[in-house]
Amino acid sequence: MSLPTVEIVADDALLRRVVPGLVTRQGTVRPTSVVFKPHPDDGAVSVDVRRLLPVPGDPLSVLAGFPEYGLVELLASTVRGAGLQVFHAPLADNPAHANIVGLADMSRAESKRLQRELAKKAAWVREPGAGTVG
Amino acid sequence: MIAQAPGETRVTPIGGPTDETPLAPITALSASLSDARWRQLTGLEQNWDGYCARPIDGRAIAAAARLVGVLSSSGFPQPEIFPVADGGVQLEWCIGTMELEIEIEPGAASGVFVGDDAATGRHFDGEFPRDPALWRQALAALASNLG
Repeated sequence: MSLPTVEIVADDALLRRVVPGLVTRQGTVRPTSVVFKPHPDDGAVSVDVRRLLPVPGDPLSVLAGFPEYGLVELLASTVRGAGLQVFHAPLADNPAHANIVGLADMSRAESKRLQRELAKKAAWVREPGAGTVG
Repeated sequence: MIAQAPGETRVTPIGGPTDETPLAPITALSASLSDARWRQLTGLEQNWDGYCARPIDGRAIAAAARLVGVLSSSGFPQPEIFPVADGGVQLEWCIGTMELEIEIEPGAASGVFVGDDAATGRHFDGEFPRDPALWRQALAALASNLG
């Protein structure tokens, strides 16, 4: 049975965890483009919609179980402005889950360029290793 | 002890902590690239990123190491090195006004690169094996920023 979905609006903040080793420190400290590489199985980039978290005011709850990870945030309007789509895709254990799609439907160079663009536009909610959560 | 997120298999992330070792993320590998660093990529297990990433392909690691070796012998500094969720390896340089990243895909038969030269506004976006000439141009632009 599929779970009910909601529309992702332009102002929705999309959260993505960042492994400590996927941060570039040449110049601005930011996630590397690899963070927004679509998964080879489904061609999507998994994110959590902040508004749909159990406690929307606590985005760091996404890091429960991943205390050493970082967390970045992108607006849905930024993703869509890059020509990509974002859809609510709730999971049984994560009702806030959504997918960014479109990166797997273009040339590899175009996809890489957009991954890089998303990585540069992503804002830190918390840099990796900045403390522990949960 | 690190708690396991619901529905996800917990493994040690790249550079992440285990119960025995302190947090030591791979970040800029600018000091020296040792065999141990490459072995660290080799040792990544399924789900190393918490999003079901695949283990890193040995051929991609070998190709990346060869490329780093060749470029280092030509005077290029060590790049940052990152694992990729599909099992590939990414190398990144930022020298002067030039930024260049190349992703070597699993199997090492193909790859993709993007580069930006802030001084000229030129972009170098291409793929292997399709665009070797553009890759050489990107390397030339990077080299022009070497001291």
